[in-house]
Formats: sequence, C-alpha cells, structure tokens
Amino acid sequence: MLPILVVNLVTVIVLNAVYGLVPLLTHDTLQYGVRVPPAHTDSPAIAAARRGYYRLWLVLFLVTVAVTAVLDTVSPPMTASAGVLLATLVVTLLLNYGNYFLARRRLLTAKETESWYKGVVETIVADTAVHRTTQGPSLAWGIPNLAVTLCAVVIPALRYQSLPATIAVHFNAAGMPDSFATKSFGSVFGSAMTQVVLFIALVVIHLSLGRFSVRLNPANPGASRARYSTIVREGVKAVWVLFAFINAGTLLMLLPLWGIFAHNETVLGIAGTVLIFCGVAVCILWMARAAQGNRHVDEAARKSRVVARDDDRYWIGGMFYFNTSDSGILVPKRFGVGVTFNFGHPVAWILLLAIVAAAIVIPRLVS
Amino acid sequence: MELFLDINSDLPLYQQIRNQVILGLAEGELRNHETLPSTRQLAADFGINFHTVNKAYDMLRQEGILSVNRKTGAVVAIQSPPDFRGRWRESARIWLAEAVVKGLGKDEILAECEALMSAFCQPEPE
Repeated sequence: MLPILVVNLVTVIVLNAVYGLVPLLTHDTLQYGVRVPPAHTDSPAIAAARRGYYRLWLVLFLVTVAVTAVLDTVSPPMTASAGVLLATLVVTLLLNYGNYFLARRRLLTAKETESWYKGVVETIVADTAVHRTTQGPSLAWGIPNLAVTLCAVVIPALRYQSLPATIAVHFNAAGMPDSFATKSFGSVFGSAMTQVVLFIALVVIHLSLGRFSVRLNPANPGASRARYSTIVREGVKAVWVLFAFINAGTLLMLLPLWGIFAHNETVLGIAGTVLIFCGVAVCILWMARAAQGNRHVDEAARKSRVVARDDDRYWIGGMFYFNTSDSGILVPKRFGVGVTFNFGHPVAWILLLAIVAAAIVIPRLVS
Repeated sequence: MELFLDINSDLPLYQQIRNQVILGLAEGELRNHETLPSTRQLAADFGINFHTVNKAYDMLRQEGILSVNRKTGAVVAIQSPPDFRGRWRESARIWLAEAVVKGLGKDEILAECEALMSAFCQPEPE
C-alpha cells in the first residue's frame, strides 16, 4: 500500500480541487447555485462573491491539508487511518459546502436588492426532438471496463482450486497479511461480483441517457442544447474510463489475495492506488474540459428579455432539489456537473432507498 | 421544435403547449407523423407536472391533431373531421367580430390576415 498519509492527503487535495474547479464549470446564468438573468451575469456582486469564495477556498485548502497531515502523523498507523480519512473527508466536504453556501447567500441578497428579475419574461422551454437527436457515445467505451471486469471474474475462477482453505483478505502497510478468511465464493469472488453489478448498472445508465431531463436556457436554447449534448457525450466516456481505472487498480491490489504475486503486494498496492488516482484525475479533467463549451452568455442572450424561470426556491440550501410540481426524477445539479434527485418526486425516494439497500445487501450477499 | 411557455402568463400552460404545437405545424417546424416526447418526458424537460402536458395532449387528440397510444407514443396525426370547417368558421366569426367592434377596418383586418397567413405553410391532412 502507499503510505496512508499520502492516500489521505491526495484524497483531501482532490476534494478541495473539485470545489475550486466547479465554479469554473457552471454556466454564467447559474452562479453559486443562484439563477442569474443573462443581463446581470456581469454584475459586480457576482465578481465580489467569486473573490470571497476563492479567498476562503484557499484558506480551507491549506487548513484541511495541514490538519490531515498532522492527524495522519500523530495517529497510530493503520488502526486509525480509516477513521482519520473519513473524518477529514467529511469535514472538508462540510467546510467547502459552507463556503459555497456563503457565496450563494451573498448573491441571493444582491439578486433581491437589485431586482434582477424585474421586467423579464420567465420562461421554460423544451425541444420536442432533443431526445431523438442527442447521441450518447458508443457502448464500445465500456469495453475496457468489461475486459477488466472479466479478468476479475476469470482470474479467481482459474485460481479457486489451488487456493488454500484459509486465504489472506487484507494486507498491512508493510505488505504483510493481517486478516484472513475461510475460502468461499464470497471471500474469493466478492470484489468480482461488485464489479459485475457496477458494470451492469453503468450499462443501464448508458442506455437510459435519452430519458434524462434536458433543461434548456430559453435565452439561447441552441447553445444550451449543444452544451448538454457535449456534457452527456463526454461525461459518459469519462465515467467509463474512470471505472475502468478504478476496477483495474482494484484488480491489481487483489492479485495477492488470489495467490498471484503474493510477495509483491506492496508494489501492487502502490500501483493499484496510483491507477485509481490517475482515473479520478483523468475523469475530473475530462469533465472540466467538456463543461467549458457554451458556458458563457453571448450578446444576443444578454439582451433577451426571455429568461429561465427563477427556480432558486426549489433548491434547499442550494443543494437539494425539492419540487413536487416537477415530473423530473433526476435533474441537473445546481453546483457541479451531473444529475441529482428531485426529492419532491416519490420515485426519487424509492430509487434512493434501492441504491442504499443495494449498497448494504450486495456486499453481504456475496460474502 | 422548441416550445416556449411563459410561466406568468394568464394563459394556462396546457393551452400554451396546445397553441404552440398548432402554430409549429402551420409554420412547418413540426410535421405530420412526427413523434412528440411522452407526456412524462416533456413535463420533465419543462420541469412541470405531467398532468399539464397530459391535458394539452388530450386537447390535441380530441381536435384531431395528435394520436396517443401505448405502442407508438404521441405522434402528430392530422385529421379534418367533417364538421371542422363549420366550427372553425364560428370561432373565426367571433375573432373577426371582435376586431370590427374594436374599430379595425376591413382592409386592415384582411392585411393582418394576409401577413399572418404568409408565415404559414399548408400541412397535408390525412
């Protein structure tokens, strides 16, 4: 394994980096979770909110990284590392959310005092052909993931007979086995089954792309349609690549468990972890590049009186969408790239419960 | 075809959808036999309740503009019922009468009609 200090630090740095990157990916008309009419995207209040956000972001970045380093150094190796990682991640998330919340509150105040929505026509728009014309990427992007998943099934299947009755299932920082389990389907194939379930889930999501809600900007529907199309196409490619990296990294780390390169677990652990971080970095950069397209408001849209409706009130804390009058189950995120649940829709709760249940039940089933 | 709904308009949203589909057909942006999104899909794209879209589709179906069924979904299928011309004449009479009452002259009304008609192309009825 990589020294746990490095893993924790890199994770905290990545999380902070994402929060630093997100405001640079969102559309001009959606600043810090606040809907902005195109005529006001150059408002000094937005520039001030952005400066405040990045000042605090830099402070949080330095503090969370320093605290993680100190905690990792003073806590006993391995035993507390998982707890430290979880605690630092949760605290980093909460602090960055707080920073976003402050920027959002500043903008909401400016929006109200300067009456940004006065004299505009709040409009919603839909394109009757968008689901037929928006093409997702080829399913072939799933082939690397499929290949890795098949390896994760075939390798333990070939090794199953030759494995001893008790196998090592965890290795310590020094690369020595520190946890053992009786040879069983679950202990040998557990990880492979998780990868198979994940692969099936990704295929289902890939094939369901046409069903996602497409929210267009009435001030410039053509540009927002092009932006949506690029984000969907490149986002799906990036997610396939991300999971291919994650599964390949996990596969490398699992080889010693199946008796392959059993004495090189340290090297494989480092290689696997590096591979996973590479996948995360590639995915983030890929999405960041895709989200740059049509991000800015053009001159025609700036002059348009027809603007997207002010839907700030449906976003609880700027993060959770709750609109019982909206038939959309998954809606575009307010801050970031991707989709989130409409918690005002009963089906969203059922889906959420199903995901949580699957996350709890599947690991127990395979073990 | 893009459908724009003014959420603060006095005209209900379902009426706006119905009107825009008909205008889209007359202006050639939407064609006969073209598929429209399902009620749930269109409602999700607008961010509104699917009952609103359902109501609009139901109106269009009753008016012989749309065919909705489980297999094919919502498809534009223009039909002209035998009594259509009589009903349309009655509606047009009211609209024209309103213009006359408000003081528009015959030439002005005809010029307006001409200008509006020039934006339309004739869809082929079944």
